[in-house]
Amino acid sequence: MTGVRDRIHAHLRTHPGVHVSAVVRELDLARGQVQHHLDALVGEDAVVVERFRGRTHYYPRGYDGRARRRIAVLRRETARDILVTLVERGPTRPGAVAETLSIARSTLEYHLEALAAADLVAKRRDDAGRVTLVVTAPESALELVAATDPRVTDRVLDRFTRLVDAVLEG
Amino acid sequence: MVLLDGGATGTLPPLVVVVAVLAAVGTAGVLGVALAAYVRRRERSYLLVVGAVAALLGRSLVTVYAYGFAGLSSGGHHLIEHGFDVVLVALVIAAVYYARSVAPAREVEP
Repeated sequence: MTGVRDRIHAHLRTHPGVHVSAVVRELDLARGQVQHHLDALVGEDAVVVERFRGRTHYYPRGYDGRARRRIAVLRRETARDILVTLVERGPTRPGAVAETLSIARSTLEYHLEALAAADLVAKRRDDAGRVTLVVTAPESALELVAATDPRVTDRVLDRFTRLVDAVLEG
Repeated sequence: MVLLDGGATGTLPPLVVVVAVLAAVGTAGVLGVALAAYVRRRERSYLLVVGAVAALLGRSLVTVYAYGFAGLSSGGHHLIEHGFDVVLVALVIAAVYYARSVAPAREVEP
């Protein structure tokens, strides 16, 4: 019983921000069992729950709100692509980022909003009011990208929205 | 030929039902993704895309029902299927229209 709970806790430490379904899949446990142990771990204050944009994420204690938000954002392929592009190219205009990644403006803007809310990317305006995108902390940003891994469902959803945005905006 | 014309006494389902069931299963999957995308984005265009995929699913379901359960006359189900086509096209056009009318209000600059 506690062995299972320890396994779940250990999994959360190596995969902060996972969803219940991912724990169920990765550890090959029953959903009810995982939920029961997660609830117990939350009760013991060993694990923190956070709902971000309609999805429930579980984190080991010690991840503050900003770190949790960052990991949730970086589960999205396109947000990762945008961040990595900005690290590689340095401060870049939004139009150039959209062009480099072949994504629609609405896709870019949607992910920028999330990246800015997580304090990963900032918008700078020059005197003429033109926007340049900058990564707030390039090195730690790359570490976070390496530490997070989008699930298959995250990838499918991300690519679908990318496609729809591209088709609709033509 | 029973397999192709959907003979009522055949033990095998007519080919059209098999194809329509395959289409319905695939479309149901796409509908799930479209719904998840709408929940994430909360934009009117995404809701219209959900409607368009649902119309596509409706079309397959009508075919399954008409041939599989012989519930509709041949003319009747064709009318309903093409009716779904009209709805689908209208929803896609509306989704494109709203995507265009929303885009300039967004903040990204050239």
